[in-house]
Amino acid sequence: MTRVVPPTAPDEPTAGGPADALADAPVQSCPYCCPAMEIEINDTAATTDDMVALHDNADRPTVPCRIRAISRSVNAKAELSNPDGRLRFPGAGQETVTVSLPDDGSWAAFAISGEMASAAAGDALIEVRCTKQGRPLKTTAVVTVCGLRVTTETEQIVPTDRARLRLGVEERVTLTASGALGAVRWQIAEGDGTLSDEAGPRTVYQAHALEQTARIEALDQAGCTVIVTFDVDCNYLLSRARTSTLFPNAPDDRVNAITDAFNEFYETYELTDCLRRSHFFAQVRTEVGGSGEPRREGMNYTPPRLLEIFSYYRRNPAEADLHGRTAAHAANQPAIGNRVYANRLGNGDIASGDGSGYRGRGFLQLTGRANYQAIQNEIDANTPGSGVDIVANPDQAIEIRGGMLSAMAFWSRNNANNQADDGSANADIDGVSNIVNRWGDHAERRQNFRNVSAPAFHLDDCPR
Amino acid sequence: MRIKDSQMAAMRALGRASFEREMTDHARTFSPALAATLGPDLLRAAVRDALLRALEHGFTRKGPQRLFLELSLLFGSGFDADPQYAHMHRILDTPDDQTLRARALHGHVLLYVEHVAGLGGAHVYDALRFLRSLTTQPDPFDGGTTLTEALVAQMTQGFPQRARYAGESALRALVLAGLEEAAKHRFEGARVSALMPVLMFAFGRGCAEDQFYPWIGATLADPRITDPAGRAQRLERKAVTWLDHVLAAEDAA
Repeated sequence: MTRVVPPTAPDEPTAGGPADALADAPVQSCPYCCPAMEIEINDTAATTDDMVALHDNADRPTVPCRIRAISRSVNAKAELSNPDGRLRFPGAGQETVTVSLPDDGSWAAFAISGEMASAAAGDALIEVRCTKQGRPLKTTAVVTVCGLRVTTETEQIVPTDRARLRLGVEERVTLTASGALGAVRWQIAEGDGTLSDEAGPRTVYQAHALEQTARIEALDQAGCTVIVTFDVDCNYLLSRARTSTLFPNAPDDRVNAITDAFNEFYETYELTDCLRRSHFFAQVRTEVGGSGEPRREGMNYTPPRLLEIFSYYRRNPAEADLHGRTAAHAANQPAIGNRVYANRLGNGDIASGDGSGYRGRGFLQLTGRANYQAIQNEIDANTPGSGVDIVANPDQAIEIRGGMLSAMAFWSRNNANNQADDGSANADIDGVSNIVNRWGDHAERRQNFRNVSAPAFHLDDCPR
Repeated sequence: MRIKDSQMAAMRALGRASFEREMTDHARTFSPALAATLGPDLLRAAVRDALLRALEHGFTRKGPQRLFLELSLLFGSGFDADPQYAHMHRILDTPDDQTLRARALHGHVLLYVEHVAGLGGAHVYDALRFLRSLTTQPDPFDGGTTLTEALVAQMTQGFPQRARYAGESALRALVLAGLEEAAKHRFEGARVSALMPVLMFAFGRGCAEDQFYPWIGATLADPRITDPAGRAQRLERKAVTWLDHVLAAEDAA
């Protein structure tokens, strides 16, 4: 407020100035090169997720971040550094990074990784400086480098991972935490399942039958959080718990073997929903019983029984006494098989030995050389390299893996899935039963469907 | 020929130094009294500060930079953050090209000079005389319900054209900023506390750091003065000296 004179118009040359002092000549080229800046970790304004997983030898997880100018900016650049050495940007050797800031104030991306674990929450500092004009500090952010990891049977999950796993209904999964700062607390953030323990390095989670998604969180004392999200799937892998329900008398090793074999092949043979599975296991359960043991067809008949059920022995009654089980000798089961199945179901004559060699075996009691060959063809077509050859080695059908594969191949070859898809009425069960064994009234198969397999697969809750 | 980055930086620095010299000379012509008071070194530093501040508003060309310097000389170095000049801020902050903004600002200030400052700065000198008269009164700010109201009222009475231009809320904001600054220096009592708002009204919101008026900042930071009342008294005496000098020069002209 001193001497008040009109200012000089910006287009005029300076009075008394040099001749070349054009008013519109640039003085220097750094307009707005050091604007105010804003930074967001994990691409969100929230600070609760400002964490990055500590790298390990195999993996260096990165967290997306962003920065922008929040005042007028032209050709501005930001230099980011981490004086405490806990972070990288994001490669192992990248201790700083220079980011060009868009002039329009939009975000520019960068990423960080964890080089050294935090000793306390938020102790990894990011400093943001201008690259010009004395490199003034413009803003800062703090991050926690989390050593916390959670391992399941199949995965290792670190903070900020977006891990999403599939879990069968009522399947149990063991979650083990490591690298945490202080004690670990577990909690179910979403879902209705159960946790075996809510504190400590290890817990077991069991999905509830009716939930579709489950989210389990592990938190350590630095605030690091590992989130494990499960899609609980009615039609996902068969669980050991469910196999035990289907075969309550099976020992653990057989339960495990059945579970593994089914899970190995179910997608190939499209046993992918609960209705199909309920039908399949109702038939298997009827054939092998609650023990879950795939059997070879027994021929331990007495002479009267041979005469009663087999026409061969009615035509040759003297041989019934010779082969049948009596007080004097055991039944000659190969001889019986070779005779009653000779020249049937693709078998050769008695001398060929096919009758005994290809008698009923496995989870669905596959019988006859022609059937064995047809099923083997199905196996070779759909699962080449399975290592199963039931024609060359019929007893593979009474091993768990070979038996399950051959049962599924039989199921597929005979279009049993199409029949199963019709529904769960008695007529539908009978339709499937006729494919597996056309003889009999199928009452036991209906019973196994209603009382065993359909409840095991929660058919009412997840029919498809 | 290939020019390295370092060479380019040196050339730019050379260009900037040359322009600073040119603008320092220009400041002597534009505000000869102020330049004479400051001396060459302080003037050069104040000019450099104004030109750097111009850069923050995207004024990189010579004409806009010179305009910004002139406005700093007219309204104080912190005019671009002074609530009294909010109209100018709006022009500075538009997204237009710097030349367009500078032209608009120039046009606006021409109107200001004509309507607010008055012909030959007549309204300004009236205001300065009014302020000088206040220094002779024992309690010039006892009239309002509060010190803020009293200060706003005196400013409006002393420089009504500026008060209308700035608006009452801007004056109130200026007063509050001045009282806050006064509190930092433990200035107590109405008359002493009013000193900083009055100085800001006269020399601009940023007068405590303004290199064109270094005596204000120097007195506020003078380590030899330990008593707040003594510091305020010293500051008022310097302001009166300055006022007397300026008004005597005007009367002589």
